Amino acid sequence: MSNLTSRFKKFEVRVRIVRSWRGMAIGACLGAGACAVWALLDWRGVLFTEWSWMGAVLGVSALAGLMAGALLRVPQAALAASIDRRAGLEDRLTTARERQGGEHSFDDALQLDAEEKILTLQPNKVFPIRFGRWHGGALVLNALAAMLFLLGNTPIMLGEDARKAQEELKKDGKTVERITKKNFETPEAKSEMSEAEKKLADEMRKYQRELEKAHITKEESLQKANELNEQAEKLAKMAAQSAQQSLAQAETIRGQMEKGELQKAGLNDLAAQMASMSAADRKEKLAQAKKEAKDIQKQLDELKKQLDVINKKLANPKLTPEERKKLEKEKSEIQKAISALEAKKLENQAMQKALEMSQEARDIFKKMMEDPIYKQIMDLARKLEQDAESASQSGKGKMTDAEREALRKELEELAQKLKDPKAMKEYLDALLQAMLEAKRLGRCNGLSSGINGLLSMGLTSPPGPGAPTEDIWHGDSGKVYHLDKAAESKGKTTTSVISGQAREATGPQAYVEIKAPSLVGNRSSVPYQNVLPSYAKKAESALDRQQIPKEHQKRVKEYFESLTDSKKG
Amino acid sequence: MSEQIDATWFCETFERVRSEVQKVIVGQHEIVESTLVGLAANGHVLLEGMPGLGKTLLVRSLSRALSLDFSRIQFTPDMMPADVTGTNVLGEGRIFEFRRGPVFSNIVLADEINRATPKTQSAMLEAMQERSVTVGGKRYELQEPFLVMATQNPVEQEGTYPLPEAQLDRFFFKLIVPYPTKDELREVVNRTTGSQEQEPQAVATKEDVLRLRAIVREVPIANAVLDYGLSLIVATHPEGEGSSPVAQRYCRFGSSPRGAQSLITAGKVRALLAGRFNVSKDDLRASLKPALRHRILLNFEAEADGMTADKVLSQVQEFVDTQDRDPIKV
Repeated sequence: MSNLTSRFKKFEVRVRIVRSWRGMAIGACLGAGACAVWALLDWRGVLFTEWSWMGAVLGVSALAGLMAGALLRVPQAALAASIDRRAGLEDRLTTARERQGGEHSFDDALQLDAEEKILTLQPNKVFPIRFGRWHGGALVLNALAAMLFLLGNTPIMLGEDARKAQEELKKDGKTVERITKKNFETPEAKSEMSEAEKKLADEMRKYQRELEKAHITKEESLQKANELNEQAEKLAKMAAQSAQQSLAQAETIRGQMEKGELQKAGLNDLAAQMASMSAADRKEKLAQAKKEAKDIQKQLDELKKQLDVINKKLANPKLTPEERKKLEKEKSEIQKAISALEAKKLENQAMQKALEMSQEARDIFKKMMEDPIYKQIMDLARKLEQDAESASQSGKGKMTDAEREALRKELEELAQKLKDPKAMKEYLDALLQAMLEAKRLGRCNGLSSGINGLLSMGLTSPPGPGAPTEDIWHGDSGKVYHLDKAAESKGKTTTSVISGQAREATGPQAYVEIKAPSLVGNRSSVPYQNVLPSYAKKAESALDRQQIPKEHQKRVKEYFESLTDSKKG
Repeated sequence: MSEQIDATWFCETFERVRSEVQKVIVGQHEIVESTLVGLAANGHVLLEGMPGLGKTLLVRSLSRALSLDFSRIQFTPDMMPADVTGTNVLGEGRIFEFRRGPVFSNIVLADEINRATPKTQSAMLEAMQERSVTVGGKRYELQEPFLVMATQNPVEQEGTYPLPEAQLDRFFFKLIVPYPTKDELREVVNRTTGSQEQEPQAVATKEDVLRLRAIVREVPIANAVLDYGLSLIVATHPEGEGSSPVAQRYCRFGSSPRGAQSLITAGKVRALLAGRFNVSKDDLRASLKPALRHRILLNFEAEADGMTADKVLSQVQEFVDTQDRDPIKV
């Protein structure tokens, strides 16, 4: 490597540093431009964003620019030309670099001259780090993006009422976020969600964003909530049907499995039916059957004797045609009776045999039920069914994910030990499918309940007495889906003051008046503050007239006082 | 090390000659330097300026400083080619012998060359390009160094014969001699109206001039710089790749390849004068107008718009400079 080439090294490093600085600015500029567009879309409600997301875009683009600047090749010819330009070296380096090893008379002098000149240069002076147009552009675009984002996300341009309305919508957004997370954003739910559920979850998230950004009006919000509720209910209905089908299928498979066991033992259906009889009943029935068999035999013997007599009479050639005809008729009737009795006898014999065999079938069932593997499988299956049932009712299974997985593995291992693992596997699959559907049903029910709760609150109207709180959502079905307080669920309550909860914010209360048909189900959306004075007056009047039992009077009084105090506060 | 000595000698010699000429010529530094550049580059120079600006004096002073033969031809419309080249005359032994014309000199001052007829002007063609004359079918070599310095008056166009493009192209430089400034004029008056007149001394020889020319040819030029020079040439062409918008609009014809040769050679001389061993883009820029102004032919639109060759060349240079960006953007 010649001296001149080695001298270029430190300039190359410097160029990479300065390029990184510029590349970072270009990247930041592009990123900020993208953020500005994104912020504009966010403001218009087309594509939502957050500070953190925009920051990430900006950071990534700036970093990419920085890396590109640092890694891009620095051709030596370009470097020489650039130094010549910047340091006013009158193309000395460019020429000297080209003429390295040349044989012209001036080549050596040229090399010396170029080296001499480059030694006087400092890379940081030749390639200074400057605040250029790209940096300025990045700052301006950043400011623009921030401004657009703030315009779309801060209520500084709004009046007092509109600001409050926005605040309330944002609170609703938080509620929707909680509902969505609870139902759709658990790892379990994510892995099990169907396409329809995913779509619904996406819509919920979008709705949440719209609320958080307050990009929609209350009326639009209510309509959207209703639409989502309908979708959730529809999905829940479908999941319920599927769960029922799966459970029925599981039951059928189990029946078939048992039947298979009997067939293997050579027992028929009748024996299987009889297996459910008690021992005493079976004994009594068997005795009856035997007695009946004796009677039948006796009748048969009698009829056979009569038939022999008739046959002897018919053998007499002296019989007149009328007599013969009469005897033949009698013979025919006796034969018919004998046939009927013999059929009955066969039936009786089968019954007796079934009654005798039913003990054997019973023993098989007993043996099967007492088989530790089978017994264990049935126990585990019962647990799964209970979990599925619980999920379909309350939206929450009894078991944790880990427990379910362990159970599933255990079931599969046991099924392997059985004689007919295929049938057992089908049974287990049907059970697990039912459980899955039940969970889906639970999720959709949970979502629907959440939305209903939100709707019943009139979307941000303050929760008055009896109104749904964060933990209790009353859907329009009238059911209480979730009770967290164990004391309430067990009914062990103590007499205490029921404190009404007024909204913390002071000033005029905002509410949405819904024209018929009601968008909030069967509940009133009128804030309780509007009706409180009249009810308080009525209560006062009732107290005055001693219409309220004495033991409850104090409680009623304190109740209304607490509400009035909350309102003032 | 010998190259460095050569370069230093070049600068010193050049400076000595210039100083000597400047003893007589007041001001006109650019003209003096360009004339010397033409001399060192082995090119002929066309001087254009109003009468009395010291064109003839410059040439005479130069010849004295270089101790070269000097002849002056005052061109007139009735001048014949033989008056320039010389002719065969019947000698004493009744033998035709060639009598050399004024062109047989080291430095020839072709004063008011545009007053001669084209026929006479063309007699200069062979002399300037081939450095020889042919009379009576016999070729006579001119002695080196040979430098033609022609002058022409931009006014008084009546009765003149503008130089044909082919002849103009043979001039290395065309220099526009400007009016002296007031201070320069004062100095001129003081020098020429006083009792003592400065006379230039011979500070270089014929051999020195030839050595100067040899040194110039050794100066290297980088491809990028050469490319820049060629871009300037191409940008003067009214059409073709690299043509500049101003040339497309105002030029009928652009520079010839001789223009490129002149530009590069002049750049080499200027590089040495600047104490460098390489040609720079600035050297080419400095030589652009003298080397190309007589090589581009403007159209009527240029005339109508008041565009001169120098203005066009300025814009050509701007055009090429905008394309010649720093290869490393930081």
